[in-house]
Amino acid sequence: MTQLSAPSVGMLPGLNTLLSRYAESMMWLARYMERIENLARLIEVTEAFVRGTDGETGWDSIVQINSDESRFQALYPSASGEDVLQFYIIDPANPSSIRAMANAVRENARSVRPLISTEMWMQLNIFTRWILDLKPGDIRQTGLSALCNHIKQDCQTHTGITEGTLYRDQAWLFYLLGRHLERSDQITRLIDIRYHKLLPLDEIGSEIDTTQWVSVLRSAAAYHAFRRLQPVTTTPANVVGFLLKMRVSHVLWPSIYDKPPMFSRPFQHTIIYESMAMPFRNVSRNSAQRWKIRVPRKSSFGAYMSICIGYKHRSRQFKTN
Amino acid sequence: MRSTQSHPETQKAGIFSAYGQPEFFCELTNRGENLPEPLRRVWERLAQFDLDEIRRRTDNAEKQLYRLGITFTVYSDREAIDRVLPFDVIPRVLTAEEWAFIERGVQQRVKAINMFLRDIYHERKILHDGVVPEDLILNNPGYCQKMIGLDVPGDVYVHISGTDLVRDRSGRFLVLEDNVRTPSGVSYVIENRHMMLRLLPDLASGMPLRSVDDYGLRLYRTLCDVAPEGITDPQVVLLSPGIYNSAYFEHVFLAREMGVPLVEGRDLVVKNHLVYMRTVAGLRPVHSIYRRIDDAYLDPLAFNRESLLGVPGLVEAYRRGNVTLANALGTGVADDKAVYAYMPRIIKYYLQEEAMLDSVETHICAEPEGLAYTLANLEKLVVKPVGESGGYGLLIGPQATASELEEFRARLKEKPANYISQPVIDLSVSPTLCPAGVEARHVDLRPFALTGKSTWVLPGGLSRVALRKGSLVVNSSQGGGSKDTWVMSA
Repeated sequence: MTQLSAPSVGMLPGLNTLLSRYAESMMWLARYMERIENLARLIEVTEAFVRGTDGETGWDSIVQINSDESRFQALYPSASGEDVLQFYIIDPANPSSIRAMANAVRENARSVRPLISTEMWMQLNIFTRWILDLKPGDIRQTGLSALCNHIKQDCQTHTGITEGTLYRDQAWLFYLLGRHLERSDQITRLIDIRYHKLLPLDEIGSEIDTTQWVSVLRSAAAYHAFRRLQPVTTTPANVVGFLLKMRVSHVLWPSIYDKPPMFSRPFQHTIIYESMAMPFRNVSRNSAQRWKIRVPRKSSFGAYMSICIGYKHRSRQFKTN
Repeated sequence: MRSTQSHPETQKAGIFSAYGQPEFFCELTNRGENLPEPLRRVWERLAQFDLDEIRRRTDNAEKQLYRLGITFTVYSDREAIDRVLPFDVIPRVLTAEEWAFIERGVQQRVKAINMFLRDIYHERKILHDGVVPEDLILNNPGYCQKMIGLDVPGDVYVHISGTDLVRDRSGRFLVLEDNVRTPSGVSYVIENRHMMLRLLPDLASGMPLRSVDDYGLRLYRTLCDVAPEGITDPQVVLLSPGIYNSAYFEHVFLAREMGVPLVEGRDLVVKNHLVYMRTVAGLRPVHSIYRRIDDAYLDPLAFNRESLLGVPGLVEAYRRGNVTLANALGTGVADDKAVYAYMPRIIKYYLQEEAMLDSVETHICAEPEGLAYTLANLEKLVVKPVGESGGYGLLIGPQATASELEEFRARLKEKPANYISQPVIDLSVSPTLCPAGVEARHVDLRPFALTGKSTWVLPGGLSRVALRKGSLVVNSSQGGGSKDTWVMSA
């Protein structure tokens, strides 16, 4: 019988030598893909469900969620719905447009191409090329839902291919880090803005209010999950509680998350714990106060990022030499 | 496969029905009296396809390459355009005997080149003995002062080389040029094979075809072989100029095949003359670097100060023997187009044997008699600039107009040392799928050799094909494509 052998992790050179630049690119690759998917979903949900007080589509909330008010107004003084779509889908001058992000995905994917699977690269290559080749004429309100769905599906295909083919080493952990960082950022922004939009009207509990809170859930792809848990009552408190505080039992996570073998000690706790707990914990101070959630001190964003990318560690090395 | 003894022409010809007998040496059909058995088998199998069938199956090839990102990138203004090297599905076939000859010829050449480089950076015997003019070497732009007196591991300067071969009307192999700086194209050899097997699995099935798959492993072993002495478990890396380099795909391919990090200059740092890479676990030592950056950009402290691609201090670390560079610095002097003319004499000088692979008769315009001959026979010659590669700036006399000839004559007189001239070689042809059917197109061959403790030649090589009818220029920048190269083991 053939003897099977798997070298111990500590001996595998590939696991201990992830270039810092690769780590950075993996994280940004995941972040941008997550952001593209969120933006496509947000546009779609906004078109179908988000209405302002005048009953018009609430396109301006997308601008607010992305904190793009000043940049957007400078480029499009007389803003219309079409302008918002151009600005967020194909405007190369807007760094948070889907086109600009697809370009960033492409460059990051090219950087880590030696690391990711051929399947991942091929799908990203086709996807980003398609986005970069979109013309203004392709962005019509009549075909918007189909376009957004196509983008979402490509992002989800990416997620699936990554899940199925990416080797579970440090690169993968940095990838997770980027995705969860972005997801938590998006969720808190979403809640912040909708809260501002919805609260001043003082019509909590009315029909429109419920619809709007449901749209918040839909924007986070959380509507059906929420329904399963809360079939009857949709209140701001339980929607936000669901998005920010709901935790998944530890039993559900594979043991590798609890015992990360490839990180040296200083990284171990922070990265694994944070990346898994991120969507539920990394909440901005403002919304934390508003929703009375306790945020652990150590998820201070700046310190956290510097650990991720290895700069802190490197600068420490330079000093000792 | 049914084996018959009748001549191909008498059988069903399928895709070859309109091919006829080209007036040049044909790699597949026109080799004098007897078609070797392996070639006959390939011919017969190809002939079973009809044109529609083969087109239907290959339609997708370029799209597949594009999707896989097997591309080289061309930059214009602000756009980055990914181009595919066109792939021709009809393989170029070499018999076991032909390959054995090429293999020995390439090994001989690489051995002599390494001895030559060692000599010109140490005792310079070959210059003192007057075999090669001292001025040509010591004042050559490829000659690297930093290499003088430096010992390199195993006396290997050229670890990775590509030798451009062509065949004349009689089928004789000739060396067109050596590539001993950072030769590229090997990734296409392997990817072309994969593409071939995807498109026409039934063509290769059961054929005694030699594999090209272990190049990555061999390259890795070579780089370990030549690591600095005393390093038992060397860290190998591939140093690339980065994602904007036109050959970036090849860099990715080779790094993956070797399982080593693909680094850029900014990922490396030199401290106390030791080279490290920046990883998430801190600095990690690096021992062998397969560099795909030209000498001039490797180290801003040693060469081009403007270079942002390089690593400050790398050359000094190298000079102290703390890291191996493959290829070594200053190998460019050996693939200089004027030095090429002396290659048969260089081989004889070091190895006391005749060069197995012939060279093309070359006139050095820096020499008065070479210039006089070139000027007098311009319309019959190919004139090449010494410093250029990629098929740029050359003149093909028989295909040039009168005014082009005049213009070139003036340029020659102005800077004769910039040029060499050679007779036009009637390159061999290979049947190629063209818009009008299968037609003869000119091809060359670049076998790749790896030298660590010994020299290994990848059984295959890049067969480039000039897709334009009648064209002799096979470079990808000039409308060339490529073919899978089949080396038969029997």
